Amino acid sequence: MTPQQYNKAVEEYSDRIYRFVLKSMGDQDKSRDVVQDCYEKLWINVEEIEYGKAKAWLFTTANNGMIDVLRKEKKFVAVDSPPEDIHDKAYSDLNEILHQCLSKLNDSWRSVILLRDYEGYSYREIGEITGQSEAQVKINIYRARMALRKMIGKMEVLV
Amino acid sequence: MIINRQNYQIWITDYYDGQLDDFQTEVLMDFLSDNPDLRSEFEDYPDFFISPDEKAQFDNSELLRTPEQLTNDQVEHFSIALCENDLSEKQKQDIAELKKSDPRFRKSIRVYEKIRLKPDDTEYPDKALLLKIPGRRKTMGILFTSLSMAASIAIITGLFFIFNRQSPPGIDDGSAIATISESEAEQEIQERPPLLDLTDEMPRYIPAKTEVLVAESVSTPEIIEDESIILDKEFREPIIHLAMCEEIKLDDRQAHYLLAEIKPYNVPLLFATDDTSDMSVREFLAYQFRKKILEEEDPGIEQLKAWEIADAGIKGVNSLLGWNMELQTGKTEDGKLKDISFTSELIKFDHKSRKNNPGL
Repeated sequence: MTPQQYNKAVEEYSDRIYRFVLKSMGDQDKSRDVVQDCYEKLWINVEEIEYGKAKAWLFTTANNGMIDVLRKEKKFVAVDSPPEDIHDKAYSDLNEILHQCLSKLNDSWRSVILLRDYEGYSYREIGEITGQSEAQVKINIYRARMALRKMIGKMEVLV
Repeated sequence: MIINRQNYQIWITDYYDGQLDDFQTEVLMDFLSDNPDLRSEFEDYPDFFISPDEKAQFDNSELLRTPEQLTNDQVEHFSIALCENDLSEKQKQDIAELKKSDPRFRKSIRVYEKIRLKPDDTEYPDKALLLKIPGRRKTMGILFTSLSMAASIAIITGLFFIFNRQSPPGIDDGSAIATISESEAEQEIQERPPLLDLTDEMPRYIPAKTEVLVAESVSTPEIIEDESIILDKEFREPIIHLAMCEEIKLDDRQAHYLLAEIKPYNVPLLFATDDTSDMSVREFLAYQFRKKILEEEDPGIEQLKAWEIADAGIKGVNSLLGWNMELQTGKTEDGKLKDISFTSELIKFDHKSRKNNPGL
């Protein structure tokens, strides 16, 4: 990858990486650090990484960096605990509610659902990024969807 | 295999199973012609085949499932699979049929179509800092090496000035004593009692009424004129002596430095100031570094940051080599380091301070 391609990777992917990390971690400062680390590592290895693989490489590195930070903080969240007062709020902005619920998913589920919905990655690609098998990714996505559905509550409200 | 009376059953069985080709069939027929007693056995063989009883039927109605009998979990599973595009075309058609007949499918599919996250317009705020100038990568290593060297020079220089500070004007031995005639000076020196007893670990009281006195503070020396000394007013400036103090207040560490540096008539009392008397060595060095090297008006005593040392190094390199490099720092409202920018004729870059490691 040339420096020009590196800069192009910054322009094209930094927002996506940041959004992925921010939604996963929920902390702006730490998310910015994780993204900065990713690109520092990309720059260090700029000669070895092809531009076509940079996006997946960045997501993989970001995911690993994020996991390291979360492990250090020992941040474990109960899977099925819905956000407080979620059912008392009006369903005016479903996407906002979904993102609130997203923060309550465990790390594995949250990552795969973000990569699937935000980036449209296939099960195989998500598996490569997160280090899970394709079957495991599929199971996690199914469980995450059902957990989101369960958190949001009454189906009729959405329909 | 040659047909004979021991294996002809195999040939007949294969014949009725359709396993014989035309030549083998012809061989079998020739054999039966030669053995007419076996002809009836060949012709009766099909009668021993068993046909399935078509009347026997199992009542499987209890096993069959209708869409209404699918559990809610199964409905949700198929709905998710449909939304994730995990179904084959045949399965999609089946679900489409089920969707018409089972309202649960309609609701569930609609819900899971909606439970899909949409990315918002979040942008990475530090994108500009990530961009690289082509060719910068190689020069950065050289730059940081230079900065490291400059920082080292700055530290050594700073420590040199701190620990070898010259006396204030007027108390330098060379200039002051030179104004006295040699005989007078020798006499003065011989009559003077020792300023400090260097054989002791700690400096003791300076005897009162010595003619060479010690300043209480370097920064604010009180200057008096000793009238006891005869001056040649035409050619010589009056000899200036500093005010006498009764006691030098030093802690053990400061006394150690003082004892190592002290000389008669030239006592660097750098440590005796009120501002620094209660500081630890680290705080003292940080304070003096900021005050003397960085020339800050209000120097703090907190631990020196890497960028401060680098800044001092850059200033030192500028003064030594005539370069025009500059290191600027931006700070937040609460005084924390926000970012650093470096400019020179060759290169310019910005670096954002990490929130988790503001000390760089």
